[in-house]
Amino acid sequence: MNLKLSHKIILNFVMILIIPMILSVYLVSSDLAERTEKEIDNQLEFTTKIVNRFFYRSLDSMQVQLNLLAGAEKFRQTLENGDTAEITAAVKGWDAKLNYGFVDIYSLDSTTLDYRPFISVHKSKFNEVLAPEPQVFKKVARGKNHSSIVFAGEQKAYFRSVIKTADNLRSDRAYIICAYVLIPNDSIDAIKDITNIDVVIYDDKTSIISTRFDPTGSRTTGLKISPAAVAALEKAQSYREEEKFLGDYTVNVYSKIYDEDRNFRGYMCVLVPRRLFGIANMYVLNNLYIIMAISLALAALSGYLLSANIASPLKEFAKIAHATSEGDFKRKVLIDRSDEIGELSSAFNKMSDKLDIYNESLKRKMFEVTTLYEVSQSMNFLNNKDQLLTIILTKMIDALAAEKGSIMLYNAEECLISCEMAIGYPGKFERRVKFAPGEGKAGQAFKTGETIISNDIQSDSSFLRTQSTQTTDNVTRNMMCVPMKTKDEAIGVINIVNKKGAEGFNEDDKTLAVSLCTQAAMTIENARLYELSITDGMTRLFIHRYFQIRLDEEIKRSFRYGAPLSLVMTDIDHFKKFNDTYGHQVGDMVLIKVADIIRDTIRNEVDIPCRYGGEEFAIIAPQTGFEDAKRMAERIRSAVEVADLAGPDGKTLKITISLGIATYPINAKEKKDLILKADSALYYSKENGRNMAAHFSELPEKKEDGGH
Amino acid sequence: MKKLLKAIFYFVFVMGFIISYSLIDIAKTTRVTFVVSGILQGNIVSYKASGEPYRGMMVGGMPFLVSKISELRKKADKSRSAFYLLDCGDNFPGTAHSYYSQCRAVVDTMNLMGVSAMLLGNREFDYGFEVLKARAADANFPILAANVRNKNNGEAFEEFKDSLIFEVNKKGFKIGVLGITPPETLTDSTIKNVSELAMSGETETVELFMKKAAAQGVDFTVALTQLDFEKDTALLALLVKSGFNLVIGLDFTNQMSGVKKMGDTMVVALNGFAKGAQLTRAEILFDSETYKPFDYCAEIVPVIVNQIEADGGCAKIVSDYLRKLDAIMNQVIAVSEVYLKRPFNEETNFGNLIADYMLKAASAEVALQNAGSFRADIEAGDVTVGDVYNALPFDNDIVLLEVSGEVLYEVINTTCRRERGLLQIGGASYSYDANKAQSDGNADVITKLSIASAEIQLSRKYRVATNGFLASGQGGYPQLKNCPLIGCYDNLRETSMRFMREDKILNPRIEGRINRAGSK
Repeated sequence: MNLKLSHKIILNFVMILIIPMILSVYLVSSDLAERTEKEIDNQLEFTTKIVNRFFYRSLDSMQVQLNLLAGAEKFRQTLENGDTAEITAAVKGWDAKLNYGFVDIYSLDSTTLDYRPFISVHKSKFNEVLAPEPQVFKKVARGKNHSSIVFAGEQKAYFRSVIKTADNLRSDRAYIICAYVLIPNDSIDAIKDITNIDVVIYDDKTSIISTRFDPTGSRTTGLKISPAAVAALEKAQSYREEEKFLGDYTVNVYSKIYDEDRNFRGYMCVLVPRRLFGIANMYVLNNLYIIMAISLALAALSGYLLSANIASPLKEFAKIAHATSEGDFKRKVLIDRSDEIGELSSAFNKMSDKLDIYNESLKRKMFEVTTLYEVSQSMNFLNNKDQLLTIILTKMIDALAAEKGSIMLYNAEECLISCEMAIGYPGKFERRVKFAPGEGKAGQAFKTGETIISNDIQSDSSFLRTQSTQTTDNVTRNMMCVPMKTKDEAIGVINIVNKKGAEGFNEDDKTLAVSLCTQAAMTIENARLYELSITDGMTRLFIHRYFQIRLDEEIKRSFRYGAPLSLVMTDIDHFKKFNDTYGHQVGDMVLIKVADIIRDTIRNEVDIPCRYGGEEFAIIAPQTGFEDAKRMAERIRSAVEVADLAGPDGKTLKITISLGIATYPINAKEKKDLILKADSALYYSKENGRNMAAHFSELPEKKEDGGH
Repeated sequence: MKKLLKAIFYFVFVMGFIISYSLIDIAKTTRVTFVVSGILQGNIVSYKASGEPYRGMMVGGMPFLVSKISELRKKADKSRSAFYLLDCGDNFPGTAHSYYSQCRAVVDTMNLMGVSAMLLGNREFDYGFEVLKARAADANFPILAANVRNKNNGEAFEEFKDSLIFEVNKKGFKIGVLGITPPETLTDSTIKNVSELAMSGETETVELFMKKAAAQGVDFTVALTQLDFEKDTALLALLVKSGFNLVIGLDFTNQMSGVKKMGDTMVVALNGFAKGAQLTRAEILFDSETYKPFDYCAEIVPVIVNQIEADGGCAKIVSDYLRKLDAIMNQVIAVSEVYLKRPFNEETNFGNLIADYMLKAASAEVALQNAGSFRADIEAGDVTVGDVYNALPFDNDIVLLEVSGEVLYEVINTTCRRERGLLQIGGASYSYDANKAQSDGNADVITKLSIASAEIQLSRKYRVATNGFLASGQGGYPQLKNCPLIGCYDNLRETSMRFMREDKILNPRIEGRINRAGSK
């Protein structure tokens, strides 16, 4: 689960309270339930006791009174001597004191213990159901009293007390007096009214006395006892069951009723409404629930406050830290507090500041390194000087976030620095701006070898205004002039103009610019050195070795692309005569002149003019077939023919050249053969009158054969 | 949160739909259900019906009646009908339960019925006005008695109301209910119970109500009465003429069901012997704009024990009273040595016993007790309160009349001639010839009538103790009605029990007080 800190805090608080509260509710409620059960048990036991006591007490008092009444000498005499009417009258006289239902008197032979019904007062008439059992007679005959509850089987229960009068010594006769008192419903009802607990008394099968009424208003007597209860009471003291009666749940407990001799007489059931006991507990539980609800609310509130106090700033902190981790060092934790969180946030802000600085400088360094790398990469693959300068300048303008710039190189012949490349200026670039070393900002930089930054160029007196810098769309606000140095020698200046943004160039820009310039100077110098190495010093055409290398390359390229390649070999006619007549200087001039014509006549950047050796030149013409090669050779030849060469003493000298052409792959399949074929064609030109161009394909057969 | 809002939205939507739907329905029809109860006569406990149509069934009883009423109420709620429970009265006295609880048992259970208005019946006065006032205060429902006035100042008693106006709905549909207590209350009740009462005339009462109803904008008027549709035709005609929309009365023929239409008046009846075994339910449909009734129906609702689940709460209240009553009823007050036989057309020991007690209570020369007031025998042995109550269930007081010898002779002659329950007599004896009665309905059948062992003197005035029922001329002896009342005593049954307690042992004998000659 992905929970936020604030949620965790609130949850934590709530859990801290919930668990104990749930526990306490659980414990209290189970405790209360247990208590309720105990209370019910107690109540049941109590009620059972009350009922039992009521029974025994009634029986006891009945017996005591019966003993007193029957024991009276006068009564005994009446029994012995009186007639039925007299005895009946005497018994009826007791009614004032005892509310007897009826009284049965048995006569007993004291010696044999035989008994016979003697007189029945009121209506029992020795009712068989109610009459004492033989064992009771036996016991009473021996002089012990007996009392118990008896059931008449007609929904009526009686207290029955059996006593024996004292023996009449003269007649060996005694009397057993058996008195019955109806147990009135209201005596049990009184228990119900006091305890609010219903009582049902059963004989061995059906209910005889009940405090409970059914909805029709009848007492629930005459109902069969639950068989489960009877079965259970065979084994246990009591049996408990739950019942729903008139919408209320009651707990019913059955127990057995015994007489004083522990003889089973019937059953008793005590019915406790659960409702009576639930109430107090319900209040306790309700209070507990209220307390729980309040505690939970408080927990949630305190959790919320705590989370607002800790989690919210931390959340803010986390947000900023996240931004910082993404590289945004500018965002600050805005917590203005004096506690630990405040300290932490200010420390964090400081750290973030420092990181920002380090990061900026690192970025700068990275930028410089990257720029340098890119520049050098670009430069390494370029031989063309203009392209090289363009790349250098573009990269520098980009790297230094400027609007425009220019490169000025030192021309040793003129002793001036002249603008070789400019970017960002309106109009077409022209190589016309030139400064002497020490002149203007660029000149100063070149001369001193120090980088010059001028961020307020308009008020700088040493700034030289050119025409172009005066126009409105070409205002120079600030500039940086960086000298390009190889070893300790300056080869030129790079001017970077108008830094983007309000601020001018700073020291960082300077550092970067110097690095870049150093690289640029080296590259330019290297380019110059390379050019020198493959160029003939006098004619400024490519040297023989370069020729061999390039011819190899071009043949391979032609083979790869299936394009023709022509090689033109040329030789100055009668060159030896020029040397011999006018000296070597004129010979050199002739060579230079022819070389210049060749360079001007061929396709720039495509055809490769080389000094093959002595007065021989070779031109590699890629993608040039027979016709084109022929045309090109003819063009060169005629250009040389018409050219005038200033000779010594104001003479005008005329030169001619002979040319031989061979084309790959029609004339030769490989380099050496191609050179040989071109040479053969040249030889043919020389042989056939000079000042002409011959293609090997045009030579007579034998010549070709001769070539082999 | 979104879910909750959604749920609330749907709830409001559905509720709005239901409410508007029910408003549309209500807009067309306004239903009103009247349930008529009453004539409970203290029967809070179910009993076995002795008359048709429920003969032999267990019927009535407050737990079942309350349950049935709440069932009818639910039914009305379901059909969006307004519900009014109008009660015809005669509820409080009538049984041992109400007698020994001073009607508390009845009022306590009636409080569960949700009575809208109860008419004050004449029987309500049976246990005295003080008891009635106290129970009226206990009742959670209003008791109507528009024509009952305080004799001393002519004003209404604060315990009762003249009428009630029910607002059926908020739009102003009003139903006015007028309660007219039976005019014979004054004459039929024991005099001391109604001594504070005066009854105003029905015409005056009705006019007053109609004015009030018109002033309050009542749309529908109801007269809650105990009028017998067979007999009380004058009152019915008055109510119809006065423009009552609904008259509620009693039907003693047990044949009237449904709504009887008399002109524009609807008449609905409750069984006059209902005793909690019957209710009447009437449903009237009103046009919701005019509040004019356009349809109606009525039905008898039986309260049969095994068809209804009892109301538990009510059953508990009832059983609490029953237990208390049992405590009273089971009290042994005396032992009877003999079987106490109730009299009919002969002299019995029981009849003599009670007649003697009356004689003793009123210090009278002669006591007369009608045979019909004995309802059961009492076995020999313990005599309980319950035994006496069952034997003498009527709540009659002992009264002392000054009766001329002539009238007394005529009264005895009447009872002998008729032989439909001979008057039991104390302090005197009489002999008659039954043959003479058979030959001539108006014959003098008395052969001997002696008082205190002396021949009756027709010109003399005798102090005669009797019960209130006979003294009011009922029971077939109208002659007694005009005899001057010279003394009022306690309830006959309670007085008898008091004497029994004193006697302890009862052994009344047949002493030849009533001697019959002639063939059967």
